Amino acid sequence: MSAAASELLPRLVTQAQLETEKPAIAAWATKHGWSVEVSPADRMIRVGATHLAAELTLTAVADCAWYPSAPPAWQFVDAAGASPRSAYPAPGNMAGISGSIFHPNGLVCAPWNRLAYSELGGVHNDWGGITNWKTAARGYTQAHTIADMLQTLMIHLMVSPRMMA
Amino acid sequence: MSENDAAEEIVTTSGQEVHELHVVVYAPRDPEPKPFTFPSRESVGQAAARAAAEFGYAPSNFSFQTESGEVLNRDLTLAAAGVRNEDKLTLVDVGGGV
Repeated sequence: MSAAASELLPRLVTQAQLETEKPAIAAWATKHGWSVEVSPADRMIRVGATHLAAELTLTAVADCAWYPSAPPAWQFVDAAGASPRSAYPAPGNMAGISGSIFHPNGLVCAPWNRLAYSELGGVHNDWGGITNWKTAARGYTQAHTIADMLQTLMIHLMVSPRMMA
Repeated sequence: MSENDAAEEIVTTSGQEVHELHVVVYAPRDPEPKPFTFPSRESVGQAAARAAAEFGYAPSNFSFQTESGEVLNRDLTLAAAGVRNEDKLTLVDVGGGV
């Protein structure tokens, strides 16, 4: 975590932001039949996400510390809570979308996932740091609220052909 | 074409027929959908961009997803993409992963 983000955002700000977004998240989850647990107190989100081709319900978690100054840390996790490559969907193709957000390394590769930034071990050193997440990588996937992130995860899961090996 | 599917016809001063489509648009960030009226000859991308702006989104690569899950081609007109009156559409950002 960069000094800029950690100094900018007290825990209460993130908690208030998640409380503000809860109605939209709940409406989205109801509409699409996903389970989404939002826990503002510990700044975590836990998602039961449908993988159509694999006929599985995947678990994704988002550590929202420093959100919205910094994006959440999105990970797919296995039953033990670990995040191996095999917990991730394989990338798929869809007409009109230039590329999958599911990186073969086992990563949600999007500017709205702070784990995609090289400063936190991700593959991108070209986005100007995590506090630039709302303006980084223009022309690629953009999602500035949790519900928008869920929508994007769903679109890409719909065309994922299988799980990563 | 059923009565519900029929787009309302308007004749402009140039004599050109324009059809309007009345749809409901959902945006993930807002728990409440909004009604929109679009010319049927407007592109999916343009219509989605206008709807996105109404919901407070910054400019990006928006399209619509239908209730059946299809993500519409942004380059097609709404009519060519198969949008019909009273359709329920969800805004989606189709910018790819990187």
